[in-house]
Amino acid sequence: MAVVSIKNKLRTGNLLVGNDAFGSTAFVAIATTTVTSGVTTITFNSIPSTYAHLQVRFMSINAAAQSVIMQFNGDTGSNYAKHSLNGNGSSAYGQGYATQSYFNVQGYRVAGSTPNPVVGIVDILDYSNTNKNTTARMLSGFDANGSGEVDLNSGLWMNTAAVSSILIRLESSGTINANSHFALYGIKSA
Amino acid sequence: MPIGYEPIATTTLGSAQATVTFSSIPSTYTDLVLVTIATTSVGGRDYNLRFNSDTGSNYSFTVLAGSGSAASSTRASNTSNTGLYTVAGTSTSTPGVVINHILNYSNTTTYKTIIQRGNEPAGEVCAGVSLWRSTSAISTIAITASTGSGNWNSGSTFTLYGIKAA
Repeated sequence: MAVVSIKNKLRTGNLLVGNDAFGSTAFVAIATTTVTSGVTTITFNSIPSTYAHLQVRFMSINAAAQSVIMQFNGDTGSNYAKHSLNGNGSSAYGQGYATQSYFNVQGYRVAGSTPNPVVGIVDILDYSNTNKNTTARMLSGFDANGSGEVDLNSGLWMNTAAVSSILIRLESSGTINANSHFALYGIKSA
Repeated sequence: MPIGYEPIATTTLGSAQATVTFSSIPSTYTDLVLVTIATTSVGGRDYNLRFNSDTGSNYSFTVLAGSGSAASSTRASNTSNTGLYTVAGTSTSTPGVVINHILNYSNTTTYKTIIQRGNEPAGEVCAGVSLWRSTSAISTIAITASTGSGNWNSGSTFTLYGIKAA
């Protein structure tokens, strides 16, 4: 059995599988929200345009059986589209919707309870480019020992404005409970 | 400027081994990312994680997979480790690449949920979500190729990263 001591902070120079792109100075923590009591929305405002991409990493404990959704720059119009590939433990299936007022970052409609959270990672690519619409991709999931779903999602915001704010909430209504955690990161280009 | 992503430890196998273990993981990060680039001695094996040496039936997982001809999804409950099917690789020339995201691994309030992406070019591509039903902070991760059989081959690489939130 190989045992690696982390006390010594070993690093042997393996930079394969994109590790170089995620070097310590290229991936920057921008902001974090840790929910201490129930809230209905999580918002990251005043996002600087100095990064190449954004990433949101979240652990959400949903009070209602709703999936988690995202909107940009306060736009609540029908300016979004979304697709997903989902696996629910018994079948794989795909979904797609045009002309939406948000896109889903996590698909399984579950009232996650403490201690069962839903988790996800959202990549918002080239978010400050004003020559094209903004596309996001997601990997998310929830498992509760007998139920759950894993989701590969994409989301489109049909607007060429730079993304400067991100709103996260449950799809229809409901509270994001205490101990939920949402973190925003910026990824730099060379 | 807060640094978000740091390499914690890497091991590259010099000889075949059944299990690779990262221990004494500090609790100072928000998330962990474990990247595996590996082949196995037995083809078509599962990819398994076990935390804090917990061998109890405290794990479960849901997997979405594409084999090249069909998409499928499966689930297992009350298992003794997490599972991601048949991505561990079939030979030294076709390594399986697995990226595991272990979110909020050190919180002591919730169970631990792991989302995974597996790529085995000779077999399938898959995504998975796994649950470890423990509120303990994760301090040790053991990685095995299937349960009870199969070694990781020499040259297989395992890298653990830590992500710090702002």
